[in-house]
Amino acid sequence: MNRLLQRSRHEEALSQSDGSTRPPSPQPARSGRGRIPRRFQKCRELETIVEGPANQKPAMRHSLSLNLPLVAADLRRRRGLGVSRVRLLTSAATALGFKARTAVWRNFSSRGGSVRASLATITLLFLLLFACSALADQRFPPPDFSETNHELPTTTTPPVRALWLHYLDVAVLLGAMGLAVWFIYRKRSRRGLFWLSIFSLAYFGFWRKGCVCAIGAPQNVILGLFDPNYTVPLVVTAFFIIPLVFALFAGRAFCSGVCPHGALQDLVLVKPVKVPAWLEHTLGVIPFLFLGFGLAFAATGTGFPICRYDPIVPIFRLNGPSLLVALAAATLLIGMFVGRPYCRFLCPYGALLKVAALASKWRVRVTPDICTQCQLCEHSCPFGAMREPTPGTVEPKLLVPERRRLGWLVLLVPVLIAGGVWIGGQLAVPMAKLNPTVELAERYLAQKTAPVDYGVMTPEALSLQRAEHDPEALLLAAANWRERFKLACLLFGGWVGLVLGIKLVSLSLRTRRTDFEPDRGACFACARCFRSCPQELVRIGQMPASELPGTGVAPQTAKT
Amino acid sequence: MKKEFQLLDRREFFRDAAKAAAVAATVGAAARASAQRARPNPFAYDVSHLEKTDSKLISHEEIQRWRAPYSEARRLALAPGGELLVASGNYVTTFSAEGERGLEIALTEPARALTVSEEGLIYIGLRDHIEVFDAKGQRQATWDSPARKTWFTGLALVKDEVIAADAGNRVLLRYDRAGKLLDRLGARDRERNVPGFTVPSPHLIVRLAPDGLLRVNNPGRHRVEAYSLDGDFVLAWGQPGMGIRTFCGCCNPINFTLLPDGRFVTCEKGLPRVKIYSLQGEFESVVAGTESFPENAKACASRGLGDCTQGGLDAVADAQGRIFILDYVTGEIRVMKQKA
Amino acid sequence: MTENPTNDPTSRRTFLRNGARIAAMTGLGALGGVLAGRSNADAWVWQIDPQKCVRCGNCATECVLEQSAVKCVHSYAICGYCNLCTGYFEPEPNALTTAAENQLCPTAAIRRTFIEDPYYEYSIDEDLCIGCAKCVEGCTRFGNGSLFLQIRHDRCVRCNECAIARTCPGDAFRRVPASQPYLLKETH
Repeated sequence: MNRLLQRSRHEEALSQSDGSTRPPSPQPARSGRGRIPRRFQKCRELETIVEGPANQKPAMRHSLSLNLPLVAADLRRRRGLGVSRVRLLTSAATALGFKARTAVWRNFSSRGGSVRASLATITLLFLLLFACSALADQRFPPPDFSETNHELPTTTTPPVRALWLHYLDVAVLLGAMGLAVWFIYRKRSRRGLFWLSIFSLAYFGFWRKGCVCAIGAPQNVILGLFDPNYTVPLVVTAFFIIPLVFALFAGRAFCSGVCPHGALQDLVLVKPVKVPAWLEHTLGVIPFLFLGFGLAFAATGTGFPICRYDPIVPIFRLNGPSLLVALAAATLLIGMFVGRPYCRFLCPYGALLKVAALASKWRVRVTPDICTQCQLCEHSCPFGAMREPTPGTVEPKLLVPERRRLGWLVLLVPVLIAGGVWIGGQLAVPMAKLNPTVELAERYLAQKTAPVDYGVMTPEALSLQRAEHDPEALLLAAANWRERFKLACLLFGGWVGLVLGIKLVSLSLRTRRTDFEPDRGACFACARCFRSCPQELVRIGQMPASELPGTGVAPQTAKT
Repeated sequence: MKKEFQLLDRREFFRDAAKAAAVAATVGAAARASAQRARPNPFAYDVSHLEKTDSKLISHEEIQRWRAPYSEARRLALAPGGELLVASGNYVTTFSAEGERGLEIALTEPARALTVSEEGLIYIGLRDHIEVFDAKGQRQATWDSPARKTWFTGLALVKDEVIAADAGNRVLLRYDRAGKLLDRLGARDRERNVPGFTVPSPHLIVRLAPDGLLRVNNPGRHRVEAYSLDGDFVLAWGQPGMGIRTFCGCCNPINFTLLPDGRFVTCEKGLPRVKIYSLQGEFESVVAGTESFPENAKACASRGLGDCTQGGLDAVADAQGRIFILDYVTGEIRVMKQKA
Repeated sequence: MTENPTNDPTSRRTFLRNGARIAAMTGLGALGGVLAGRSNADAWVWQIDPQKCVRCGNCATECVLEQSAVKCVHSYAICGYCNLCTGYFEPEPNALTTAAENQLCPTAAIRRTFIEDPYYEYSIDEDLCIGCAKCVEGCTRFGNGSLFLQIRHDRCVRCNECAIARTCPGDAFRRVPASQPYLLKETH
């Protein structure tokens, strides 16, 4: 596209659009059209795009000429755009349908202005489309059936799921979260959590078919922050925030028994295999990258990849595209031997919960009182979350090279971020192709040089027809999408650098642990380890205190 | 000679790597090619083979073209002096036969029917009533709306009467020149063997033929019917079908006009085309085929602004046999002349 | 074991952890506030704008459901009740009968009922309809466009990202408020 989009000064482009032949049509006087505001003399970033069709629909042109001043005034008022800016947008849009080279104002004076202006452009396009569809003629009445007096049936409209049912979902979520916390911290009951997860699987999984779900909610939230035309439904906001707040106090209680994805994987786990530490750490980075990718992609407004590539939801629906069904089957198959593969190595919401759980107020403790270091719990955890105690004190001299290495790694973080930003910037243009509008614009331009026959009424051919219907609007929109993707790719690149840097730093940090305890972030709070601890067995009276292994330390509390 | 087990040597490694790369590249290229090749649409409604007309059938050529002044161009009429009246938007504009713009009449809504009398009075059918203007564009009369669902689409002048086609009520109305309603013709009547008009969309046209009978299109039955002024059904011709000799789609012809010698010029939508039929209704030739109206065809198919209520053509023929065609979608007026 | 509270690493960690938690709570609160300001009690649902639909057939194949949630609907008040319905019959039918070879619909999901001469009523059997839009193209190409596609909300599973919307060549899918979940064509 870049090769075809030639840069030119907008004066030239505007004068060309003015010089075009135009049929006599009543157009309201546009003051200042063709006169170039001074501040745009500097604005070299105009791109000239391909020639428009000679014969645009007159109906559309008519409506354009009538509506643009209104649109412009509206934009000016609502978006606080400068007059000259709106005028340029307006003149770009009025040039629609003329055999002229139309200037598209693509690059923007400042980063902040870019989002605002692209939103303004999108609003403009939306209003133009609206103006066109409003032209439809008044409908011609149907025949009256004078002989049979046949009554016209009405078109049925099956209702949407009732709103109160959505609030019921939130109530169920809150209730399940509370129960999970109660089972983990008060009852210390694996059985309770198991039945809770069965319920969650049935309700959020097979009944609600995996939508609404907390895993996809961050995308809605970020889209709601970036796109003022999209408002996040309150239910989705609740599903995003509630598990995070719980995680800040009680760890990953959501994962333990509320999330249907986790519940299903927990159910199929038959023979857990220990994942080697290096692999666990490497794969553990993926959720953070996936989270960054999903958020960056969602922020552009193109789509929700976290939902698109969810490998569990097809099982809830018992339905889906073959590729995803295969992916789901593979996930479950792996899940028979690797505990919760999706949660550990892919789930982006799990990554958020992991970070939140690091700061949690309470934590899962294997032993109710003291740890005898019997190591039984280590084997009970199928998710590799159990951490063994660190050796007591270390010789300070040995710490010196470690500290030096840590220092270098901390310095490496900004370098990694910068590198990520640079690579992200390089990937912006190819990545933007993931947007259907950009893809169509590129295919439209490619079609000009090397036509491809896509066949009769294929989606490809039909989308090209749409492109030919209004190429300037399409290319303008595509240029705006690219701008959005550029920002998103820069942010995502920086995020990748940050994640890798922090991972490297965290691997070099020395922690001090006296007992066997689960890692705050990695622990799903599934409560499997509780019953493995002899102290716990004594506490609940399943084992006499005298049978305790080790040095015969008796439990200090006698709650039994 | 048995080779001992050993790790891959370097040359072997490179050779294998090259082989693997070649295989991967082939597979990748094939996958890319198959991804790029569009799958055919198994659900395509394909009439594209009908959009091309056999050039041997085409009898006319375009000599001039200009654009109607406003959007939503809907109707053409010829004044006795040879001026062309074009109804577009809320205006009726006169043009000389060469396309020079003359008088303009502003209306409150789009004109849906249009005719000019010998004296130069302009009769304009708006949706539910008729207005009369003099040759200078001054409104002379506004007739009352005859019925609730009235939707005028055609007007014809017969001696001292005005015949108006009311598509909404599927009936022809006979008025005197003062606007007094005299009679209703063409309503379904089994005893008189009147089939009734089947009008799925607002396209009902009435013209007076040189034989003294009214000609009306009956789009739902794909034919042109002849009625006496008393409302007796006389004859009908026309066949449904997608082929060039027949009337396509569910409801065509939507418009027709008469050549000076009484032959018919018919207009169709869906597959927009203009054809000539003999006095007996036999297909003679094509004035302009679907390929001449790409925008119009597109308006109905797959990528339109709405649906086919937007598409269509109107035509009139002058005393020299030139045919003026109005394209609803592009608003273009084409002047067609018989090929030498 | 010597107890030295000022030097105890756990207390420092606890302090950091508490700080982080308070910061996170503040952040979540702020985010929640911003979102609540912008949130909508009403939910979104996906719907097809019939004015933008290009009848490409993707709705039949791209939906995550095996039988698409997109169905053809009929606005009877727009219909011409034609005998020769181009949405019902093949472009060049042998005869105007309900015989299978004359029907356009690949699943025979359109019912044709005689009302009175010359009018026939057409209605959609949604259990059979696959949403391929073949009839929609036929009806729109020649007729009044009374047949068009809509997402049926008794079938739609409301994916966060609609799989058909992603591939729609007409860009016809959009989110609409759940209180107005259909985009029916205007009638007279």
